[in-house]
Amino acid sequence: MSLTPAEVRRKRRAHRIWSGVKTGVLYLLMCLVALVTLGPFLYLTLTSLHTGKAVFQMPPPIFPLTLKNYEAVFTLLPVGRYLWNTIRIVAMGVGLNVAVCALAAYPLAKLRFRGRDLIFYAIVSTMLLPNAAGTIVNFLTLKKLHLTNTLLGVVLPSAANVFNIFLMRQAYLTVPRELDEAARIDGANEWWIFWRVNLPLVKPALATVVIFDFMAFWNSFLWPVIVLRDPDLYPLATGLRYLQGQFSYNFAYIAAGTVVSILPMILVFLILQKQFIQGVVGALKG
Amino acid sequence: MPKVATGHAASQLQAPRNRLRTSLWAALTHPKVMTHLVAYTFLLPALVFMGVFTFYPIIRGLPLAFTNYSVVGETEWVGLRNFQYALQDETFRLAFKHSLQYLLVVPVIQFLSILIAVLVNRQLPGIGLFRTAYYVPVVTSMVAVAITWQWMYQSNGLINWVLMKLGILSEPISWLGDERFALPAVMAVTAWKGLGYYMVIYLAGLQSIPRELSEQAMIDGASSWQVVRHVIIPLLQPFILLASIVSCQGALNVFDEVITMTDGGPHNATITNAVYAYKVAFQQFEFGRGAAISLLAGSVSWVLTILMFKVFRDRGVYSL
Amino acid sequence: MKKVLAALSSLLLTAGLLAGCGGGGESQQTGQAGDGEQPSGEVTLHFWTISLRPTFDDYINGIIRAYEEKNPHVKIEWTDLPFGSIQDKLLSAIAADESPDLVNLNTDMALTLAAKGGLTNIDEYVTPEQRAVYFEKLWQSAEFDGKTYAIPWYAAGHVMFINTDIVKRAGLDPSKPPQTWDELAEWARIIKEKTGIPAFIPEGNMNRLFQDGVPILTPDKKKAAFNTPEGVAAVRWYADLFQKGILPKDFMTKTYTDAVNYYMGGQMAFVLTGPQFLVRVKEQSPEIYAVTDVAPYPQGKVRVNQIPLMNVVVPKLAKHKKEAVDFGLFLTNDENQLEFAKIANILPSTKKAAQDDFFKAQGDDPEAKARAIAAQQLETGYDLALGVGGKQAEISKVIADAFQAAATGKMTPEEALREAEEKVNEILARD
Repeated sequence: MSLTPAEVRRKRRAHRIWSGVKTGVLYLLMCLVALVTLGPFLYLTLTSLHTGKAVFQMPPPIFPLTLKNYEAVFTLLPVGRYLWNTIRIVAMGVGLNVAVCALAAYPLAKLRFRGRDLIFYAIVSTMLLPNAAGTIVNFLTLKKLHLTNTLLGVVLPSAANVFNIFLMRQAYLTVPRELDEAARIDGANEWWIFWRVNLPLVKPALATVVIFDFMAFWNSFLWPVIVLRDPDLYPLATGLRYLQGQFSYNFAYIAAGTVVSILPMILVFLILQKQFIQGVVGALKG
Repeated sequence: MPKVATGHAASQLQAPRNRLRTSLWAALTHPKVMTHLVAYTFLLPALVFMGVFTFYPIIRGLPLAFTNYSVVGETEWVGLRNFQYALQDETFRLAFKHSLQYLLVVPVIQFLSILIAVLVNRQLPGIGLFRTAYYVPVVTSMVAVAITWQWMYQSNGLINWVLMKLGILSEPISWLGDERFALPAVMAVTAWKGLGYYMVIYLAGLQSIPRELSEQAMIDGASSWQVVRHVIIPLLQPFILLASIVSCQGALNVFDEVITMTDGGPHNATITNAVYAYKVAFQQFEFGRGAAISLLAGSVSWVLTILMFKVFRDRGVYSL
Repeated sequence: MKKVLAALSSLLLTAGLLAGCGGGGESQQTGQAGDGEQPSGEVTLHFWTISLRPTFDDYINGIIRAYEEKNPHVKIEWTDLPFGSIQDKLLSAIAADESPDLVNLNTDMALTLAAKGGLTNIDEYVTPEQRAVYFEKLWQSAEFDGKTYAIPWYAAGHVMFINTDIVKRAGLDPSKPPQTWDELAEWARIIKEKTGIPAFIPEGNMNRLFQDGVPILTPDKKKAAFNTPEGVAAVRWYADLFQKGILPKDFMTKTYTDAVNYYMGGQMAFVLTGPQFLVRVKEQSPEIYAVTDVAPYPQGKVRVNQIPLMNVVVPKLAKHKKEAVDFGLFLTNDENQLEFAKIANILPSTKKAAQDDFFKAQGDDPEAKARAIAAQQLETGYDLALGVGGKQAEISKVIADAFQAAATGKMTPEEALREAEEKVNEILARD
């Protein structure tokens, strides 16, 4: 029995409404979750735009908004210099880390050679071993290398990251071996196979590494204090700690400083978001 | 590279130069040798950096557990005294208990992040924005997160206000100042910050499940919940194993959240193994004891990891 | 998107290389300035403080300039460290034989470090006259094994803020505030009865015992000494406040910050805290500040006051100990401390500075009053340090637990203190 055109239309409409409702519910749910994950930051941002009593009022008022706290933070601290230091640290750190890890992971994934498993397990095992005096030992090493009080000294100890090597290795494993073999038959050398065949295909994983590194270097605050003697070399995360002084505690300033430190991170993530999630998904799906 | 090798070989063998060069060149370009050369060249920077800044400190650090190293004073071997001390130390027992309690975060966070991953694993306009929104806490520094949550947790802060408006609380609670609530409050922040991280792992898992499977189940009359329960969860098991291992390690070694939000207080109510080891080393200047504590605590996380592998393997699930 | 990624990564790489060069160049420069060979007789002192930047840059730099002018052969390099990073930094520096010469530490840390043999005995470099400039009790705060390991720098006192509005509503006279803990408890009862407002957040800890003259440890620091009738009475005082419903039970766990916040919201009658918090009330809750009066901190059975203290210490591995002590004495002399007190609202550790007119109450300004009250505490002030290193935190926790156990009614005050005594003895018996 076939349906009359009117019945078909009705059914289609019912279906459309039903799926519309379903989509609406989905969006509602997603907004709720977003409120939980972003809410605290929005609240902090709101606080950073208030002064005086409004900072402490409950429920927090929306208006009047002011940028006074931001002005104060920028005049109290050399935020510009801290930011420039941070950018240099992040650039060096991310650059080094991406290069080192992308290189190191390749043979671990693609080449057969003696010592491969040993090296791989040794690298992974460091994630589980305690490192109680790590900061002190690394500081002594840097001193021997005459690298204390340099930004290079801040990044070198984390130039090779176990997790990133692991992630890149997984990514290379997803690149079909046939591609490598085909290139090899065409007379390509290993560098060419690495650079032209594999690397373009693991870009999402590279984006992941970039984000994780960016995050780690952008946010590190204790290690720079130890390595750097000159506070003018401090990165932002460290410098902003000065706002939490014993005498000058002003939560609105702290909130403003915190917002300043979070925003660039979120911006980078927004730009690389698609590759990043693809990167993790790709690395794990393999 | 070949030049160096030639010179070295020449001084040893005293063979006619050009013959040697050809034979050496042949040896070097032999595929197997070539592979080794390439492999180790690629690995060299990583091995150097890790050797200097990762392996070396670990090797230097391990023997500390058997000394009374304090940086400022004389150092002597003390045998197993640090371990004995740790085992009798009430604060260590407390820290140990809290670290185990912290594991309660793991099932909660896994459950919620699977739900969220299922929620965002579809093609809808703006879905990327939502995924990003869920990931923002992951990329934010713990210091910033701590400042934000300390602010929210205050007696006259947002959380108390909301709970009182909803009638759940009649009096405000000093979440981080109260020994009964401080640890759960810190654990909640860990869960909140980790949701996005595990969501991405599970998103990877979901995308590796062929769509036809769940569609087929739907056609067969299964409800969405049944599909999740009987199709998706079983297929996600390798991802659950991976995420759980990562999450357990994170919970047992939790440090950043505690040190930035409560510093282990009030009255050690939030002290954990990693925090205690750090405090013993850097605030009491007992690096030997600190190292012993980390070793004892570390052994538990190894045992747990091995156990989890075994449990899953008995059920036929392997890690990725 | 691919283009963005490619552009970004190449940008990062080039920036990384450039930054690498920049970083290297800077290291050489600062390296020379800091550690380079100096002409004979010239001394560079490394001086570290905790979170004084950026507010007090001018003040500290002024002191350094003045000192360098008087002592041309000395050059001072000042580093201010953000809060919470000094321990790691200090230990790394000492391990690398780059010890600073003069370091700002609180008493607790100074004593822990001294117990490990990490600090210089200041007595060896200071004459009795130089020492007499400071309040005796504050100087003794950093004593350990009969040696002094720190020069006291600045301190914070304790006062009581009074919301006169609430007190009047309860029919009490705010111009005659309670002077002892017992009177305060009585006021709290009346205020609760008449207004329903909880009066204050009481201290249930080691300090409370000390204020009633109860010793915490035996003089040889081998046994607990606080299980005395006076100790039991102090615990009972605390427990009664909760058992009789004068204060809500959750106040046992509230902190200073909570107290100030409640107070600023007009939800509490008193705050027992440092005068520096007045600024917060003034800036953030002007309505409450308008009805705020300040009174002395209530007294226990003996006249003592716990005063958190900041010191300067000279690490054992410092290269220029004599000069470091000399600069330390200059930094903490009457004149410099008075100036600091005026800009930072803290208390000086020297007698003459504390006698300045600045610390005499003038009129009704709560801040001036608070300052005057706090300054009077300096004579009887001490920084509660038991001299048992890291065990102090454990002991303090055991004692606070005893107070709480009695307040919740789980134990009688006698039982609670007896159990605490046993636990503290165990802690002390460990090596």
